[in-house]
Amino acid sequence: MKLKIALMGAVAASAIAPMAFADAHEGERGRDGNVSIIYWQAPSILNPFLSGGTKDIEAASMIIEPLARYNQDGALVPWLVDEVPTVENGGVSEDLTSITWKITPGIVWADGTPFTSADVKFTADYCMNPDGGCAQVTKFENVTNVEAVDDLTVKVTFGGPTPFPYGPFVGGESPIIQAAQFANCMGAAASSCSTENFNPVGTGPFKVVEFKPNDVITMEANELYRQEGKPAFASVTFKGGGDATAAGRAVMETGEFDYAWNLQLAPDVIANMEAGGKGTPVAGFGPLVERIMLNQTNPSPDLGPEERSVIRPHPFLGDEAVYKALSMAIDRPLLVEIGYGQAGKVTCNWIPAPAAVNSDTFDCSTQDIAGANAMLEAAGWVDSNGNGTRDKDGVELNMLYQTSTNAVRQDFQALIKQWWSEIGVGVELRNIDASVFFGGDAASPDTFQKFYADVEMYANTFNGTDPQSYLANGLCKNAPMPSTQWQGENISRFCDEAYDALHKELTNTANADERARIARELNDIMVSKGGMIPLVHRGRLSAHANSLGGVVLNVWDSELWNVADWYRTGN
Amino acid sequence: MFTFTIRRLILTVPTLLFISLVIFLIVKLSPSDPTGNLPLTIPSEVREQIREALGVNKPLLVQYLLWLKQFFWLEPLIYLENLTGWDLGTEGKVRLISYQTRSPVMDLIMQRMPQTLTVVGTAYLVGILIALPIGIISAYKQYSVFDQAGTFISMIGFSVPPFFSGVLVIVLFSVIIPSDSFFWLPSIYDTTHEVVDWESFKYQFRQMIMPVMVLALQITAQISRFTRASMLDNLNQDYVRTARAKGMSESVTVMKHVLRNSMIPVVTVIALGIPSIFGGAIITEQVFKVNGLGQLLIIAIQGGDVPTVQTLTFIFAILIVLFNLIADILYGLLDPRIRYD
Repeated sequence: MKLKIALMGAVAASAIAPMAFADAHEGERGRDGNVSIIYWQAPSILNPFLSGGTKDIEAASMIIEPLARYNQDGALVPWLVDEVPTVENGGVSEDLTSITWKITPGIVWADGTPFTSADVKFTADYCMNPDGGCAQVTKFENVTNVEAVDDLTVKVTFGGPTPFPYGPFVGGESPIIQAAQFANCMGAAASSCSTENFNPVGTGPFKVVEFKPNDVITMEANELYRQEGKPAFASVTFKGGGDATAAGRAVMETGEFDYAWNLQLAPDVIANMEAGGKGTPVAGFGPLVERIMLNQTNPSPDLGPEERSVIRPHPFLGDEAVYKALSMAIDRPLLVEIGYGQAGKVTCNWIPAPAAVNSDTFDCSTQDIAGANAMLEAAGWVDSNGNGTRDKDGVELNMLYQTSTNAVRQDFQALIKQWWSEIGVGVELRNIDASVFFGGDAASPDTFQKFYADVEMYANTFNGTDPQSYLANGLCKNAPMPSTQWQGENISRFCDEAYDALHKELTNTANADERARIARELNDIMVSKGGMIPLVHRGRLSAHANSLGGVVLNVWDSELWNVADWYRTGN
Repeated sequence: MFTFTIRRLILTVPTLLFISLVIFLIVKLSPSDPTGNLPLTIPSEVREQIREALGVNKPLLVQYLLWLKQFFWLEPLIYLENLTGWDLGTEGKVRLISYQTRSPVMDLIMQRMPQTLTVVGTAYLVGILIALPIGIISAYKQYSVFDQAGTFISMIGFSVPPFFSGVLVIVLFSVIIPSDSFFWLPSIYDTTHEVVDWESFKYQFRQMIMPVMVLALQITAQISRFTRASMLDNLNQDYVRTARAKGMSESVTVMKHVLRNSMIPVVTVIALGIPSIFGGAIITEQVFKVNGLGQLLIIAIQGGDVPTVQTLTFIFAILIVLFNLIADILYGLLDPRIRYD
C-alpha cells in the first residue's frame, strides 16, 4: 500500500514537473530552437539612424537596445540602466536642463567588451553629426552636450529647460551602437559602412549571423545576454517581403511562420485567416488616428502658385456650421466596422492615446444627418439655385476630397461622399498613389503637404508617449508654403493665437498631470475650431502562432521589444 | 557575318549610352523621393538632411556622370580586384551605393542573382521542355482533341496572371492541404536554404515546385503556340510532300525535316526571352517571396532608390541588346539562306 502511494506520488510529481516548467517558461538559453518572424516590408538595413523605416527599426531592436524603453502601457521602463531618471530621484536636474543616466554594471556587448558610457556618448555624436543624415536626429533635439561622467554615468545637457528629457537613448528609434565598431563611420562615411550597418554589435538577445538586405535576416542567441536562460530561442529567421495577406496567411493558415507584423487587412480577411486555427491576431492602440484634414487656406486652382493653398481663409470651411455639420454627418461606428474591425475604435480626438491625454469633451459616436442639415440651414446655407448643393452668397458647398490610394480609404471616401451629399455638400473624390501623396516632392502638385484640395484624409501618429512635438503640428508657423519648399507639418494650415500660446505653456511645464491637461485642451481647440475631423483611432494588428508564447504587443516601442521573453508553448 | 557582328557590337555602345540616359532621366524626373516611405513622424528638415547625405540634391548632370563612372569604371575594377587579388587603387573610392540599404548596388545584385537564376531559369527550361512536344503534336494532329486541349491550356497560360494563379496554388497546396501531408508545399520560399544532401535537395525541390510551375505555365503558353504555328507553316510545304513521296517514314519527315526548319523562328523567340530570366519575374517572386532581382527592383522603385533602379534596368537593357544580337546571329547560322553581308 505504502509502495503504491509512493509510486503514485512519484508519477504525479513527474507529471507536474514539466507543467510547472512550462508555466514558468524557464530553462536553458536557446532551448526552444528556431522562431520565424515575417515582416511584409523587408528590412533594408539594421542601423536605425540611417533609416527611419519601422521595419528596419524593429528588426534592429532585437540586436541593439536603448537605455530605457516604453512598455505595452506606454510607461517608461529601465532597460540598460537601473532606474529611469526623474526629478524625484535626482536623475533630472531641478531646472530641467540635464538628465543623468546610470548604466547597470556588468553589461557586455555581444563581442565580450564592456558596455560603457563612451558608447552612449558616441551614439549621440554619431547621430548629431550634420553630414550623416541621421534619421533620428529629432530624438537629440536641443541636446547641447553629452558627457561621459564616468564609465557607467552619462549626462545629457539640453539647451534649455526640457520637461520631457526622454528623447535621446529611449525607445527603439534611439538605441546605443558600439563606439568601437562604428568609429570610422561618422558623418559622410556613414553610408560606406555596409558591413557595420548590416551587422551591428549589440547588447540585445540576438546577434546577426547573416543579413540579406530586403530579404532575410538569420540571427542566433547572444551567448552573453545579461539575463540568465534568455532568450528561449536559439535562432531567428526574420523574413521580409510579400504583402500583408501572405504574411497573415503564413502565420494563421499555413503555420509556416510564428509572428507576422502589422496586418493592415480588412476585418473579414483577418477573421477568415483566424479560422485557419494556427494563429491569433493581437491588437494594440497607439496614437494613430485616421482623420480628415480641413484646409484653412484657399485651394482654388485660379490662384497662382504663391497663393494657392497659402492665403487664408478657405471660402467656406472656416464657417463653424459647415465643419460641425460635416463631422455630424459621418457614421463613425460604421467606418470602424467596415475598415478596421478589431483594429479600430471611434474617436473624436486628434490625440486619443495615451489615456491621460485623451480628451472626453466631444461625443461623435452617433450620426446626425438631420441635425447637420438643420445647422447648415440655420447658418444660411440653403440650396437657392436648386442644383443639389447648398450655397450662400454665391459660394457653393462643393469640395475636392483627396487621399492616398488604398482600398479602405476609397471605401471611406465613397461612404462619406454619400453622407455629405445627404446634407447638400457636393464632393469630388480623388486618390493619389501613396508614394506620390506622401512623397514630399515640392515639384509635385499632388502631395499631402501642398494640399491642393478642400479636404484630405490620411493617418498620423507620434513616437513615444509625449505629444508635445506632435502638438506643434498645429502651430501657425509650421504651415507648409512655397518659401519653405512646402515643408512643414501643419497640414491643415491651422492658425490660432490661443493655440500657439497654450503650446508655449506646454513647453515650459514639467508636471505630468498639468502637461496632460494642456495637451487635452490643445486637442480640443484643434477639433472644435475645425482644423480636422478625427474619424478612427487605429490600432496595430499583428498575429502570432498559437505555439508562440510571451508575445506582448507594444505600440509605444518596437513590437519586438520583449523578444527575449518569447518561448514555445507545448501545443 | 563577322563584319556584321562587329558593326552591330560597335553600334551597341551609343545605343546603351542613350538608353542609360533615358532611364536615368525617367527615374530622376518621376516624382519619387527616397525619404517618401519614411513614417510621417520624421519631420521635413530631417528628410532634407537625409536627402542631402544621399546626394539627391546634386545637379542632374553631375549625378549622371558619377553614375556612369561608377558603373563602367569603378565597379568593374573592384570585381577585377576581387577576382585577381591585384591592387588597382579602388580602396576608399565611393562605390555605387543603394539609397535604401546604404550598401553597394552591385553586391545586392550579385546576392540576388542565384535565387532568380535557379527559380526563373528552371521555370524557363521546364517551360520550353513542356512547350516543344505540345507544339509539335498539336501541329501534327491539328484540330484533334490534343490540339484543342493544348490551345485551351495556352489560353489559360496567356490570360491568367501569376498574382491569381500563384495565390490559387498557395491556397490549394499550402492552406487546404494539411501541413503534415506529403502533398503540402511551402508558400514562402526560403532563400537561406542550402542544398547539401539528399534531404535538403528534396526540400529545395518542394519549395521550387509552385513558383516554377506558375512561371512555366506562362512560358509554355507562349512557346508552344510559336512552335505550333511554325510547324504548321512547314508541314504544308512542298519539300514535305517530296520527302513523303520518297518513302521516308513519318518520324523522319516530321522530326528531321519539318522540325529543323520550324525551329528557326522558335530558337529566336527563346533567345529573345532569356533576358527576361534575369529580369526576374516581379510578380511571381513577390507572391512566393523568392526575393530575387524582380523583388529587388520593385522594392527599389517603391523606395525611390534611384541607383538601384537605374543599375538594374540598365543591366536588363544590356542583356536585351546583347540577346537581340545573339538571336540575329543564330538566325543566320540556322538558316543558310539568310546572309547579312
